[in-house]
Amino acid sequence: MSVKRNYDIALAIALAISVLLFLVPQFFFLRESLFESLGMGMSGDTLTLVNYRMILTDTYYLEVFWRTFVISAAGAGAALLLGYPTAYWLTRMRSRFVSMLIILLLVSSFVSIVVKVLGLSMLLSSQGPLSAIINVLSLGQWQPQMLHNDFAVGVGLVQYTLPLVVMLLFGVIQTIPESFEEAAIVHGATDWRLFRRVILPLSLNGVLTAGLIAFNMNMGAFTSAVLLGGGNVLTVPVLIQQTIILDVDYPLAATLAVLLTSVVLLINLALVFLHRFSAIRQPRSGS
Amino acid sequence: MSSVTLERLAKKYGQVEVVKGVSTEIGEGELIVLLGPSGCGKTTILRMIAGFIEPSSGTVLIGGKAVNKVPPRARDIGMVFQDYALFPNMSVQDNVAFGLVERGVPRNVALGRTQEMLKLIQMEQFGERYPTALSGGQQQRVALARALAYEPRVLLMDEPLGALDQKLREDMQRDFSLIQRKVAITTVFVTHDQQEAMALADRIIVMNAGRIEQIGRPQELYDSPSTLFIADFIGRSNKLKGHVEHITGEAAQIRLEGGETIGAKVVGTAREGQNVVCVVRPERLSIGGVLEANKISARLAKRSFLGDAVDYIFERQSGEQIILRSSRSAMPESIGQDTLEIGFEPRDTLCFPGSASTVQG
Ligand SMILES: Nc1ncnc2c1ncn2[C@@H]1O[C@H](COP(=O)(O)OP(=O)(O)OP(=O)(O)O)[C@@H](O)[C@H]1O
Ligand SMILES: [Mg+2]
Repeated sequence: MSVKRNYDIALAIALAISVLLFLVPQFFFLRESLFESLGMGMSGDTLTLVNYRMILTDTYYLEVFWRTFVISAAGAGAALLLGYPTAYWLTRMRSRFVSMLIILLLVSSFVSIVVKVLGLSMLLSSQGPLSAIINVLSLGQWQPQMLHNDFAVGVGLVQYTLPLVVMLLFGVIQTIPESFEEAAIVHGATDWRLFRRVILPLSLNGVLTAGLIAFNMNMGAFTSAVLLGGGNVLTVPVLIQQTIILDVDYPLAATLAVLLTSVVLLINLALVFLHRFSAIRQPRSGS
Repeated sequence: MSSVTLERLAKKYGQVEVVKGVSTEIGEGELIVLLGPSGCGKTTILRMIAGFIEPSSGTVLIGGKAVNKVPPRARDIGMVFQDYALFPNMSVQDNVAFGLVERGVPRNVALGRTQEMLKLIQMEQFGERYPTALSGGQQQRVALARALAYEPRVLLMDEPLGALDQKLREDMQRDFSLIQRKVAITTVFVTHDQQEAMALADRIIVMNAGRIEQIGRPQELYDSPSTLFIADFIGRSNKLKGHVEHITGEAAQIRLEGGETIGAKVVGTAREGQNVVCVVRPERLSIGGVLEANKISARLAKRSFLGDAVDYIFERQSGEQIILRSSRSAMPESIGQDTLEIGFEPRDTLCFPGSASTVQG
């Protein structure tokens, strides 16, 4: 009893610190965003919504938000599509190498994103091996431009989130007993129907969680967008950085930050509510 | 025509052969129990019939057709798993209808059939529930209904009652055998519990170390075991070691290690002087009688009350333990601690040649 209680208290403290670390900067952003920029890093002293009005009425900014959303969502979707089968096979592999592979995944997620992105940019560059292979395969007809565009940034984001997505999905799929699969198959389900009716519904929570986490990571991703986008791909984090460094416009940067956080929060809340709502209509029991 | 036929079915894992050439025929509508100690290959055989394990050699035939190359979903079998394997994301109704839906049965037909099945397992009012809101016994019945709903040719069950407590287990055995009779489905039921096997089976296949030891009706196995393993595994047996003093046909005089000479039936062939192990069922022993031809002496060590019967546990001078089971009224309440004469008949005494190889595990 008291062990659990101490544990709860420890958790509560950790939670409080995290919330504080999150909320305090948000508060400063929020405050900063409500002042007008006077240029040269100076801010006005009257509260105003002028920054918000400017961003929300300017298609340039809206496009940046939209691009960030599309690349992040596509990246999360691709990570799920790649990660799900991988996680599935890992759970069903009866080999003592599985735990080693999982550790390898973990280690790979420790590698600095800069190092990973540099590797990718070598792979994707027009002098890189991938380009050469495609060129040969298309008999010299096609020399695709794979670097410094949305695609490259998307690939970078997938590489960034994939280890985590696989590990999260592994944990969830692992809880589905193999006897469920055998029961489905012996009672007449094809592999696809087994997936649709049993495996996917039972791992849907995990898929949503992993997808959301990947999406959130992507929305805030900076390195991939800068290095793989090569200045061609303007996402919200890149724009914030430019606004601070090049324009020295703190209020505008703060407004962008507040909007980014709000968009991400709203999307998360919306998905959670949607899921709850559908879960009430079709109760999912279990632990 | 037999419903399931196994022809020299074998399974090897690397160098280890866990099923060693099993052949048998299972009749239409028959309830066969695969019985044997842990690790003897029962599950492996069942899963080869289901198609989850590929045999190393030999053939599985269902309805006369070899199905080695047929995937599980096309073998027309139903299966009940030890952990029930009910889909937690589906209601009881959807679970039961699963096989029907997957076979493309029209919705209204599937629904009607599902209701019939729920009625069969007496759970009509539970259709909307989810599996986690059911007791173990109820989940068990739903799993059975799911396996039977599309009227498969064969029903396979691997220790389906293993997770239930003793009382519920016995109730379920009764329910299940009634349902099985009603729908007359060919059933292969795996268990390592010999009492369960006896209670359910039309015929029992007793397995030992990957081989069939004996096939027979429960009573046959109990009354005329063909090996010492069977005698030991099916029901309880008292074992007495000795050697053949004199033998004519199957009737023999056995000199026990304890010194007494008894009359017995020899199973198989034995020479004079050969070592044998003789078995007598606990309920065939009596105390204080004068009529029995065989008498051995032993000291009463313990008396254990079983409700409808009493077990008297004796110890022989040689250290052998003898159990005598008696109906409650047949024995005096106290029979002293002294050495007593235990009597039994030669026709109830079966002797198996060879040294004492007994059941392991
Ligand atoms: N995949 C495998 N690889 C190697 N050996 C295996 C494998 N599966 C089973 N075995 C071995 O095959 C033997 C038979 O296993 P099986 O599961 O058929 O036994 P069982 O009779 O069902 O036992 P139990 O009553 O304990 O369930 C066992 O010794 C087991 O260790
Ligand atoms: Mg088994």
